[in-house]
Amino acid sequence: MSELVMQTGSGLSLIEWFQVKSGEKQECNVSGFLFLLVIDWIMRKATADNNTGIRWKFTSKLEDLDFADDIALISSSRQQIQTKTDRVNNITERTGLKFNTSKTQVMRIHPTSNAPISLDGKDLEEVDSFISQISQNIFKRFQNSSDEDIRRKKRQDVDQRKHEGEQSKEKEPNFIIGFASWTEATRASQGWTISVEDACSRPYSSGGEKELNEDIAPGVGIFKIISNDKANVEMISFVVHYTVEERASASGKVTFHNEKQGHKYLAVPVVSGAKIKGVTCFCLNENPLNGNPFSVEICVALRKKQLQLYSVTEDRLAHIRDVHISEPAIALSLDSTFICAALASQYCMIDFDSGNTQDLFPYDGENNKPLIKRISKEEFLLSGPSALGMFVTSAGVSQRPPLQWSENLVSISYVHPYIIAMNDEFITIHSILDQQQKQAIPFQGGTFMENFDGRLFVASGREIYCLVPVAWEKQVQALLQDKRVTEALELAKNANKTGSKDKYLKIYKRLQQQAAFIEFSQQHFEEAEDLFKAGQLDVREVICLYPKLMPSNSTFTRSVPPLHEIADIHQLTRGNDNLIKEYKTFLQQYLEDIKGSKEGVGFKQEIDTALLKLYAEMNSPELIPLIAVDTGCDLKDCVEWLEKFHRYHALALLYKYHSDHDKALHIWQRLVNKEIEDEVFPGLNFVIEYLSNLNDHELVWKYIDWVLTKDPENGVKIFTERPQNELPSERLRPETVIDYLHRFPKAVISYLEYLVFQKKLEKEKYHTHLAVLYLDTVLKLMKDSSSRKEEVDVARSKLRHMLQMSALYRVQLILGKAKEMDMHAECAILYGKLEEHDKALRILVHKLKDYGAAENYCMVNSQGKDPLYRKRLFHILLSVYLDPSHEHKDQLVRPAVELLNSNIADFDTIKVLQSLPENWSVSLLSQFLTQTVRKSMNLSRNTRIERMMSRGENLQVKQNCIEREREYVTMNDDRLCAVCSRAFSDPTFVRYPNGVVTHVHCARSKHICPVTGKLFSTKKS
Amino acid sequence: MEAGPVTTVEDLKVIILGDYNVGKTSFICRYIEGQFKPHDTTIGAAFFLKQWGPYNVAVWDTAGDERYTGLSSFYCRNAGAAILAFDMSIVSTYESLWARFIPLLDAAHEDCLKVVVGMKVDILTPGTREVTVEEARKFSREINDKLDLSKLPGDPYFETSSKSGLNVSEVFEYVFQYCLPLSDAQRKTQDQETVDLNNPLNSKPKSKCCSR
Ligand SMILES: Nc1nc2c(ncn2[C@@H]2O[C@H](COP(=O)(O)OP(=O)(O)OP(=O)(O)O)[C@@H](O)[C@H]2O)c(=O)[nH]1
Ligand SMILES: [Mg+2]
Repeated sequence: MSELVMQTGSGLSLIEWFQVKSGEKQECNVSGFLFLLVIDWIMRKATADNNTGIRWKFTSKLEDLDFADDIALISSSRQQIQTKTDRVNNITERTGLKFNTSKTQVMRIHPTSNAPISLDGKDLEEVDSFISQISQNIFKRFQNSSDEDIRRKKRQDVDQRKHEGEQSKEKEPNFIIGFASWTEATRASQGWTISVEDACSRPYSSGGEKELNEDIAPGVGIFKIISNDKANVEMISFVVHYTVEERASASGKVTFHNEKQGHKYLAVPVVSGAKIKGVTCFCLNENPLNGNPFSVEICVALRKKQLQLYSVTEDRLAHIRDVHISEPAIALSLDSTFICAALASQYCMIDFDSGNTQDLFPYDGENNKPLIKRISKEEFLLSGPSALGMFVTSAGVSQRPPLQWSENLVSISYVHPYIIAMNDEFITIHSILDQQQKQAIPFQGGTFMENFDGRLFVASGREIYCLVPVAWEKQVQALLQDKRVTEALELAKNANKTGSKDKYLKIYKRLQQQAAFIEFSQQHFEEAEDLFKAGQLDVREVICLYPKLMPSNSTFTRSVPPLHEIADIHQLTRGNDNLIKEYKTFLQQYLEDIKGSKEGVGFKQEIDTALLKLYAEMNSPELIPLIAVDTGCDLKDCVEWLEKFHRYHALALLYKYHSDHDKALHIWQRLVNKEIEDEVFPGLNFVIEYLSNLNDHELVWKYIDWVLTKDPENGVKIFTERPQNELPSERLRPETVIDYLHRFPKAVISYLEYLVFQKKLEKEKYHTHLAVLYLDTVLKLMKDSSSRKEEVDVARSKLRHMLQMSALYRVQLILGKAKEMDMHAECAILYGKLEEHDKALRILVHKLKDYGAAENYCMVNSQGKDPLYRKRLFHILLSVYLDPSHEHKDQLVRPAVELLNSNIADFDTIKVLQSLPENWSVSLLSQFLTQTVRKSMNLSRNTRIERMMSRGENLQVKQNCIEREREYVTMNDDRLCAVCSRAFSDPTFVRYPNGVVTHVHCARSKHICPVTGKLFSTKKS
Repeated sequence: MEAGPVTTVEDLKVIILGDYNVGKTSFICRYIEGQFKPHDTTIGAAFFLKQWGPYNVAVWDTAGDERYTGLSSFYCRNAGAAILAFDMSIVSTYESLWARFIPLLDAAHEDCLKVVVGMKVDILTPGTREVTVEEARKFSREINDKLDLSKLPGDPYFETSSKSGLNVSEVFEYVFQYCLPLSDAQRKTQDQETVDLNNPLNSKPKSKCCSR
């Protein structure tokens, strides 16, 4: 790259420079202004539509730099600068002005052509530098400088830095501020780096100041000096122009190459009028309340214990306010309306709006110079006593703990999130977030340090450096390397989030994952889990650290570049069993946590397989529930694993889940047979239940024999507890089952009970079969003298219940047996079934003497039948009671009377009275008789009432009917008889209820309509 | 780029003052972290945030060394409560409380609650005790004579041990009960719909030093 800068103007020497400053060039301000207007016009004309400048930013070019009558034309080739010079000259001549060729010089930087450049036919003088002399002079002064910088918006939308200073009375610049330096970034383990030895970073020579700029785009710094003359204040600006190129060498090192492009000084008469004297220090308001972007607010401290506020615009310095203070201020900082000032021995906070002053704290002025740095809105950082960095808000309190600094700081600066402090040996870097020191860089003789739009420049007496932050990613990686996870993440979180948010989030997630593995490797499981989740880690990355836990068919490979250096947990724990166990517990918990959550989506198989294996290994109770529900596990892989750890029940369940019932059953069979063992296996009943729900009936038959031999009583449940909605199948037809079951008597009974009572199958065969079996049981028990009475009773009541409830069995068959065994109760029921009530009741009354049962019999057997049937039964009972042929008939008087007197039966009184023995006294029956009389009275009365009411109702209806049918019959000449169709001559006529009107003689019957033949009621009402 | 504003605005500032080595840092650490561990002597000050119900409490630990006195007074600004710590076996630490630390509290809130706390009770024996309970108790009442402590359980005086944890949280609860009457205030907001006619004043939470 080569560029040319050409400068013209009234010459360049130090003396002249100050002459310019004193404003003697033109007595009249207006004439100077007019001149500027003209020059501006010329330059715009000359450079319009021309591409003769240098690349400035990506889209714009820099054509010229002008101040007053000093004009610098800039181009990147000789051809261009010649063209531009000619154009400017032409246009200038049109305005009547003329270039002074003897004061016009050419400076070339890396020229490719040395051909001279001419103006008005004369070759121009060549120089190395426009202002080397000045700058060296300025630089000598640099060491005793104190400074502040002002940023301003200026023409051309570029970074321009202006620095202000105070000038001594000797008309020499008292201080200068601002410049910059190239620097070089090497990878350092953390924070910041500065390098002086590198070949590219040679100490700079002649020019004096260097400006580091964005990559290849050249930049301009304008440095200002305020001279504090007795008479007026002027600002002198000074332009240095460098290009800096960032190059990456083969080794990946980034170096900056800087090329000086030129120098120019500028003198700006700032104000007319305002005169500031005795300034001790001043500062710029970094958070001004007035929103004017073209003005800045400054505060000036005067020797006479006063602070003054000014508003500065391009051409005006307007006084705003005075604030009186108790001692002269040594340092100042300003934010909105708050001035933080260092007085002779202490700091104070002044609100210039309200005039309130708040003392903060003393500092020891001997060892430390007071420094004040505005950190953020209404917050300052102060160098306090005992080398503490104190944070103070405008309210006069602190909201962050202090920093621990070293003594003798000369400068502090702030680049988020770092506080950089410099003394003459070190630059120390603290984080504002945790107030801890992060780095110390040895740096001898530093005098000045400032943050220019995020770039940090450091000056020693001779050189200027740029402090380049190591990219935050690198810092974070370095911290992670040191296993400083929290710090690393904190840093990443607060990192300068330039670039796209998505990209940042991606990087941040990856960092979280890396951090997670570091925590993981240190057994900080909670932290690790949180980070795994936060970083949305692919769960397989974790599972694959555990040997064999991944599904055998998985093709997963770990992330590249690797997130960690862990081979597997065996390597990590060096085979320590306890640790391995902890890791496994962790994995289990982690997987349980993310299972089903959004982190686990898509990895069901991996998660379930790993969990299954872990559970199997640890013999966790969770294993069964895991298998019981939808598992994503691969069968083959898991079978091996479960077998290995003897989790047979789980294995069987897994087969079941995969519908391999035969295998499952086979395992259970072996478990029941104690060929293998698994303590969680619930036992045979589990298998029975399983079979009873199994819809593969062939398989049921395969195992039924084994089950029933083991446990016939429960085994039959396989048949009886079938699922409700199961479709009938050929293999499970009741006949088949009963046939099969005959070897297991108890099972048959259970099965028949199931058929009869539960399924309510109305087949005589089953009912009889069941009744016979019941009977057999009873008989067996009765024959066996050792059986207890209760047992027999239970068996008999079962039988009776069956006999009573069912009507389908073959009664005779049972009856024969029952009679044989004198089972009276059963016989009574059976006779009842045969409708032989007399026999039944006789048994109940005579044999069993159970009168209650007899009455009950009447009730039960008449249930759901005609009331007369019941009446008949009770009459039979009564006749049994009263049977004169019975030998103990006296005993039956009482139950007979009780029956009569009770209300349960409704007797036919006449019949009763006829059958009563004659010798019974009336008093015995008085209750019955009274009741009967009352009852029949009641009945007859009720009947009468009913009848009367019916009649009344009937009348009512009739009346209504008549009312409704009543209508007029109009008789006139037109009316003809419906029968003979002749007119009526008599006043008499006949009208039928259906409206037919006839002559009296034509009406043959009163009840039959002669026209329609309709029959009317013959009844008389 | 600027440092973001300090996000948590505290509802109460509690500051602990007392001579060096009396155990201030250990005391706060015991309360915040629940453990007792060795600390370097504090330089300048340190800062902890504590959630108390809905409130943020800023707890400032200061350095006891005399050379930080100027700073401590700065850190006292706007404090709603101060814990004055001394070592019961060293009478000079007790004397410094009124000689050196009470004056610093001028910068604190006007009705700043001052709780006197005797430290290291675990290693105290009758033989080593140099400050009597009565004396300290009386002192604690006197320095708070402008405040109404009638609602609080007992005098603002505690004897604690950071090593065993004895009485540590009690000190803070005492402070919060005075400055951030938490459960009361919350109960009242919940019951606000039902106004107690017999006691209408009760429904308004009393504004205390900290409810700015
Ligand atoms: N036995 C016992 N020792 C304690 C107790 N509290 C603090 N110490 C010890 O006292 C010493 C000082 O404790 P610090 O908490 O550092 O004291 P400090 O008041 O913060 O001191 P400065 O920061 O210098 O002002 C340490 O050695 C602690 O271990 C306590 O309750 N019991
Ligand atoms: Mg301490």
